[in-house]
Order: sequence, then structure tokens, then C-alpha cells
Amino acid sequence: VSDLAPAVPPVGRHVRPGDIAPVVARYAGLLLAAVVILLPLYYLVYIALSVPGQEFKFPPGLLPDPTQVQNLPNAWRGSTDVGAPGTGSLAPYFLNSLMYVGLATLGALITQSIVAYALARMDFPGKNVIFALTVAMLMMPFVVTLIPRFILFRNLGLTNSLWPLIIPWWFGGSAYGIFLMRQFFLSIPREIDEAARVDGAGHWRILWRILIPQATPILVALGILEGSYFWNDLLGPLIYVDSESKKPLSLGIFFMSQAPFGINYALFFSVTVLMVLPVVLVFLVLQRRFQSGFLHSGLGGR
Amino acid sequence: VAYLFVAPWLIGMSAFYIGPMVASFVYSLTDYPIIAKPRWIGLGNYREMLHDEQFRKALEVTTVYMAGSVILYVGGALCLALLCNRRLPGVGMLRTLIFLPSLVPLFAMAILWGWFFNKDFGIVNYVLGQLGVGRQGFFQSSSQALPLCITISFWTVGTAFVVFLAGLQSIPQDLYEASRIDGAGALRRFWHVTLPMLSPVILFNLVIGVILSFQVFDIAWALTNGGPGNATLFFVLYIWRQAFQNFAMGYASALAWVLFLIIVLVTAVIFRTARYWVHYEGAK
Repeated sequence: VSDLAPAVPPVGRHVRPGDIAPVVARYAGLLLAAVVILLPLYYLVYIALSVPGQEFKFPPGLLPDPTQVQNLPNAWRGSTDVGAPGTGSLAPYFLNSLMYVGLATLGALITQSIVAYALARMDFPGKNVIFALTVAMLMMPFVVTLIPRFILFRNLGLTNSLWPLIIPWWFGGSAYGIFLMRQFFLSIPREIDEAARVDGAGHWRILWRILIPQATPILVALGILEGSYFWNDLLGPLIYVDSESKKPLSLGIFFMSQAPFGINYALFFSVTVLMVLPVVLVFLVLQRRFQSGFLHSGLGGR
Repeated sequence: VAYLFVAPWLIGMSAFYIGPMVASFVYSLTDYPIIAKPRWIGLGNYREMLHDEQFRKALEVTTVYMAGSVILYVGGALCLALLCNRRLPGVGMLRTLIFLPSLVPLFAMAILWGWFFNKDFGIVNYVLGQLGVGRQGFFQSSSQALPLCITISFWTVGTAFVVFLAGLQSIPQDLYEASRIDGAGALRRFWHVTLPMLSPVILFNLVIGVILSFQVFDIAWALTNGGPGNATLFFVLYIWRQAFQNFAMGYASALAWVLFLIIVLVTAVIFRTARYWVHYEGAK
């Protein structure tokens, strides 16, 4: 990210008060934004580490008093110490979520790059029609396909499993991913694969050996967007999964919040923290590539 | 070979998009209580909507929510992106932070806000009490619940923010240099350089925002269950109830088609107006 405007006047120029004021104003804005954005995240962790029933305190200290870090492992084990009503361990839910996210994201990234490659690099009759349809699908609301998809998978006998949520992603899955990936491929100079073609490489080889290694930023960006969508997906599992043993984390946690005697906030948010933590860690590790993936996808039809 | 490459998507698009779209239109012309075979009733479902009080309410609630949250979503993301479009110490970290709330499941965020704004023990009511302002109903008040739902949707700006940031960074710096030499102030530069150059990205985020916010579900499902009264009866929640609680698949399909047509109409209007305010480089 080198093409940012220099905020500080170039060295050697005399700094006038007029140059300082905008910077101060900007910092005030940045500070406000940081507080507003962080407030809910801070409280998420704050409540998670509180004693159940004593989450609220005014004025609130910087940390809950007492701070119960053991809430987190207890919530994981389903121990009654955080007031869990014998929910049992979170591990099965976690594994279900992992399966859903892993298989769906993998399928999406593989098939979307193949299709995007064809749309970006190959010439064939009907290509423009297919691309136009893809852009149209971009605007198709999911509610329209919700019910027929449910009926389709019910007739296939696949309800009460996560398969109806995974299978479509092995067939391209969403126009959004294909579109972004195509834009990214277009931004890679053609000369690179022309050279490989002269050396006798076919399309399949060019895609996997040459374009994909260059496309890691967009793969990371899409992987995070689609993966976190699957991880947090509530409506999908709600429609397709009935058995407790097949529920992913999102659905399992959700029902914790609908307990008949009111929510145990400390428990609910302990579990939420456990659910959010892996995603946040992955994001933090990959966030540089995540941002550059967007930077080079030339969004907005440019 | 090319067709082999696009084959997965051709199958996927037919089986999971176009096919279901056609199917749902056919279902919308039937009475289909899932356990029995669909029975043809023509436009009966659509006629029923005309007398359906809840349908009208859902439409109204969803439209208000859409308008409010799109303004917050696009406007908020744009402001944040403009703020962060400078290389100042600390900005990099803030960019990362702004995306974080988008990684928290929306229903958990909704429940968190429910805790803040709880009528009986919420912090906000406590503070208001100390200030001598009376206790507010918030999510239990039919006039305050919807505006609150709109407000809390602000914390999903992450994706739009990242997209705006990428758009801002791809504006060539020499345009700014040129206008600076011409003596344009910051405000003029924003109006005559940043906004036109960013307009395709604004269009993209606007359209995505409209489509997403028309289909809001998680907030109502987790927090308000459509209430109080029907003050937060979002359209998709109503469709879900008809389909998976009343098992009226035919009626639910008809509802989905109505929402679909509304979304198509609204996005068509946006694209229509786009030619007046979206600036494409090279196109004069």
C-alpha cells in the first residue's frame, strides 16, 4: 500500500499551523470511530468474563470484578460453573462448524477459480451470455431460491444434514466470488501466461501453476468473506438441521440465547467469544493480504 | 475445454439459482402445504396478499429498515474509509479493527445490544435514569425498536469499508496534485476528484447494501421475534414463518417473489439514475 497521500508535509518545508489542524481533526475522528467500533467488542469480552448475574455494574470498571477467565474453558466443557444447563461440551458443535466451513470454502475457492479463469482468459461462444447471467445472479436475493432449494434437498433425502449448505459451493456457489476472482485474474498481465503457453503449458497448468500462486490475496479475501459467512450462518442450518448432534456452533449457541428462563449472558458471551476467537485470529494473521485482495480486484466495474 | 471449465457453474447456476427461481414462481401459483401435493390456484396467493395485514406491515417495516440501514451502511463505510485513507500512525490498526465486528455473528451482536438497551437492567436506561430521564422501552417499544435495529446494523460496515478503501487507494494521486496546483481546497478536491472517481464503487456498495438489507433476518430472529406488535416484522422473517411454521410453501414462495420484484425494481431505479452520477473513466 504505497500510494497513500503523505499526511506529514515533506521534509524541509516549514510546518504551518494550517497543516497541523487537519491532522488533529482527523485524529479526533479516528479516535471517535475507534471507540464506537470497539465498544460492542469490548463489552462482548467484558460480559464473557463476568460472574453470571453480575454482568452489570455502574460505573463499569475497566475489567469485570472479579474477572473470571475460567468462564471460557468452563463454557467449552459445558460445565455448570457458568450456569450452563448441562449443555455438554462444545466440541461436537465446533467439529460440525469446521466441517461446514472447511468443505464449503474449499469447494467455493476451487470451483470459483476454475470458472473465473475461463471467464477471464478463454474465448468461447456464449461466454458473454454466461458472464451476463453471472452478474444477474449477483443481484438475485437468496429468499427466492430458499424454498425450492429446501424442497429439492428434501426430495433428495439430504435434509437434517449440512450437505445442502455445502454441495452448491462445489458448483461455483455464488456469483460474487466468481466475479471478484475474474476481476483479479484480469488484473494479472496476460504476458505471463502467454509465455507459459509458448512453453507448451495447457490451460489447466497455467491456472494452477501460474495464476493461482499470484492470486493468493484474492483467495485469502474470498476465503475470509465466505468462510466467516459459513461460520456465522444461522438461517441455513436453522432450515436444514434438526438433530442436536448435527448442529453447527452458530445454531447451538443461538438456542442458548432463547432459553425459557432468560439468557445467561455470561455463558452466552463466553461461548460467543470462543466462537469468534478462531475467526479473528485467522483474520489478524491474514489481514494484509485480505486488504490487498480487494485492492487489486478493481471493484465496481472499473 | 472452455466448457469443461465453466461446467460446474453452469450446473450450479441452473440447479441452485435459475431452476429454483422458476420453481418458486410455479409454487407461488399453488397451494402447497409441503405434506400434500401442490394444488394449482392461479393468482390466489397474490390475491390473498391484498388482504393480508401482516404482509403490508412487513413491507412497510422492511422498506424503512432498508432505507435507514443503507444510508448508514454506505455513508458510514464511506466516512470511515475517508478517515482511514491516510498513512498516519495508528491508522493501520484501526483499519483492522473496523472489520472485526463484521466477524461476530449478527445474532450475537443483536443480543449484545439487547443487553445494553434492556428495559429493566440495561446500562443505557441506568444512565438515562441518573440523568433524570425516564426509563425507555427500547426494543420493547413499538416506536423505538425499528430505529434501534437500523442503528445496530451499522456495525456490519466492514466489507463496504474495505471495498471503499480499495477504491480510494486506486484513485491516481496525480489528479489530486493537478487540482492542488489549480488551487482547489480540500472540499473541492473531495467534490470534484474523490466523489466522481469513487462513484462506481459507491454504486456497487449501494446495490449490495440494498439487496442485503431487504433480506435482514438475524436481528429480528434473535432479538425481537418481529415484535413488539409487528414493529420489526421483517419480510424474510414473515416468509420464514409462512414456510417453516405454517408450512404454506405456496404462499411463502409468492411472498418471496414479491420481495424479489421489489428488489429488482429498486436496483433498476438505482442503475437508471446511475448514468447521472456515476463517472466511468474513459466514457464521456
